[in-house]
Amino acid sequence: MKKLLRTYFPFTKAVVQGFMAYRINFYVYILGDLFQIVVLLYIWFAIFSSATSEMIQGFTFDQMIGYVVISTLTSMLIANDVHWDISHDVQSGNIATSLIKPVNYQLLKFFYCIGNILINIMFLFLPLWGCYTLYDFIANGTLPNLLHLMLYLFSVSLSALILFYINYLFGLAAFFVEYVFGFIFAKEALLRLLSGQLIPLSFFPASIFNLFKFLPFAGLVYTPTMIYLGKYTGSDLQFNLLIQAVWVLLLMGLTQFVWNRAIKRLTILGG
Amino acid sequence: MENMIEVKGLTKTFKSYKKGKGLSGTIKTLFKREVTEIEAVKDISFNIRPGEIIGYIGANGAGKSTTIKMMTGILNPTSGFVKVDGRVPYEKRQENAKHIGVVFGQKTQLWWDLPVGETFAILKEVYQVPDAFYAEQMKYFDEIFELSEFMGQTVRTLSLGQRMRADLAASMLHNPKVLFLDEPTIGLDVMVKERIRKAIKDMNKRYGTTILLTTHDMSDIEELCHRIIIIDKGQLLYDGGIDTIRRDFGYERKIVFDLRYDDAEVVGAILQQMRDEIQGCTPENMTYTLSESQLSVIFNRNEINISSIMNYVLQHLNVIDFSVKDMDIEAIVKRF
Repeated sequence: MKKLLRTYFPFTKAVVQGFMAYRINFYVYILGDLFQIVVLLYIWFAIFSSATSEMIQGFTFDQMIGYVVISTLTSMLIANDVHWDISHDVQSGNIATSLIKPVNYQLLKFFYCIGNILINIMFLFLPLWGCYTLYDFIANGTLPNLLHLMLYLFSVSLSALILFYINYLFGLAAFFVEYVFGFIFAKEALLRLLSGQLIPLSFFPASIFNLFKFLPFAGLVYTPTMIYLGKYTGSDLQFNLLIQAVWVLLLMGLTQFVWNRAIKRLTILGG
Repeated sequence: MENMIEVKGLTKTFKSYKKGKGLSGTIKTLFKREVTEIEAVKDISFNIRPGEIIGYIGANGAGKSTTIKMMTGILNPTSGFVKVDGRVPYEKRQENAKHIGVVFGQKTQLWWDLPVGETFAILKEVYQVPDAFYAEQMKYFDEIFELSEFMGQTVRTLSLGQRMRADLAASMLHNPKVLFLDEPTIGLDVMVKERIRKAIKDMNKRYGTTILLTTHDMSDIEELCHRIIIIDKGQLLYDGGIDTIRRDFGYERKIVFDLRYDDAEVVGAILQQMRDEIQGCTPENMTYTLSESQLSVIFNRNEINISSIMNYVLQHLNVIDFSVKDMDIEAIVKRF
């Protein structure tokens, strides 16, 4: 384990160091997400002020603010560039320079992903979460529940793993199709909806919601956010964490299978 | 161990899908794809002993890089096998990678956004190089590549020559048994080329490293290699000493003259007489072409004296400039 960290942790460090070189790009990109929070809050404000009851689908307005903020923060926290990185590796032929080293490609990308997440935590999650917690304390006098916070951290770790595997698989698509960008953009749009980042999944019709619960995407944002807000307890909590864990294992197996096929049909482009 | 590298019946076929022309063609290919098979490497066999420096040469697209990719474990062969230091590289890629070093002249294996020093620190961990040996190697590299000049700079700010020096040093850090160098001198000036050749030679002498080198530069080969392997269109053409090649094919010389004249026909007539005037001159051992006031004469230096050609041309024509050229690799390959 120690040897493993010594070998691969430098790659995490390299991502963070590389990030320092392109910090501005990162913040410009993030501006879009922050803008989305503002738009969503305005929409919910309009909906709640025209609604006849205080609660919609079990959410009060304050809870909805919490949902919008925490779900966006969660999606920011787990975001990684592994899919772009792999497809770039394959299309530029640079994958050769990774394959000539005595390293496992998937572990390499995993530690790359950890680098992404460390950046997300340091430069986005902590400052924004701090702001929200302060606001929540001043406006409503509430502090985060420690148990919920711990469970959230556990759940969000599983989310990060699920997203890593999903992105890894989409990156590997570059081995099979020449133009992978379309796939990735379609995935990104679909994930926003299916992961509950746009609206809580419970707002969908019951039959669709019941289906979504079993997909890996709910485990990305919806499950950890609901845990943070304290809306999952007891058997609900156990069930949703179990779904997350099962998907981690399934995706782990699937990536290994796809990788074995991908590496066989590798043709290094550009000489 | 007798052979460091063993290649037997190596064949690699790439499938490529034909794309139709225009939009309608693209839509058609969605449903029905025409497959063409390209044989990049066909039934190649050779052995390389420990400590040899081999020039692996051929024209662009001859299959050199494909062979190297199979020897480094990146590609799987369609048939045949490769063994490097007793291992099959594409079956034990990671294990094999510990014992080889690779430089692709066209790509860098350094991290674009990191300082050179950091890159070496990462490679130290990746290859698990012991501290003492690492320090020794870095000192040695600084001697032969003068790395300290740009150790603190990020890789993307390096010049091509500096980058190549750093890339070579990176490939040698873990003291590999075999070094694959795919065009290590591409695009470099004479001074840097010279330094890189010296380093390669030094490495070979110091550690007995087996080196396989591809290049388009004949002087790389002449300075470094004792043995060359030539492939063309995926097939092995020649495997043997460099002296044989030079004796059999290096006899051709080419002189290029820049001329000044008013009437091309007059020049043509003068040139036609050249064969009669010069001793031992036949259409087989001397040919010339004249285009846009540039005259190139290709001749066999074993049969025709270079001075007699120079004499004749300088006496009869108004020469502004001239240069003498060696046969290049492409020309040798063409001769086979």
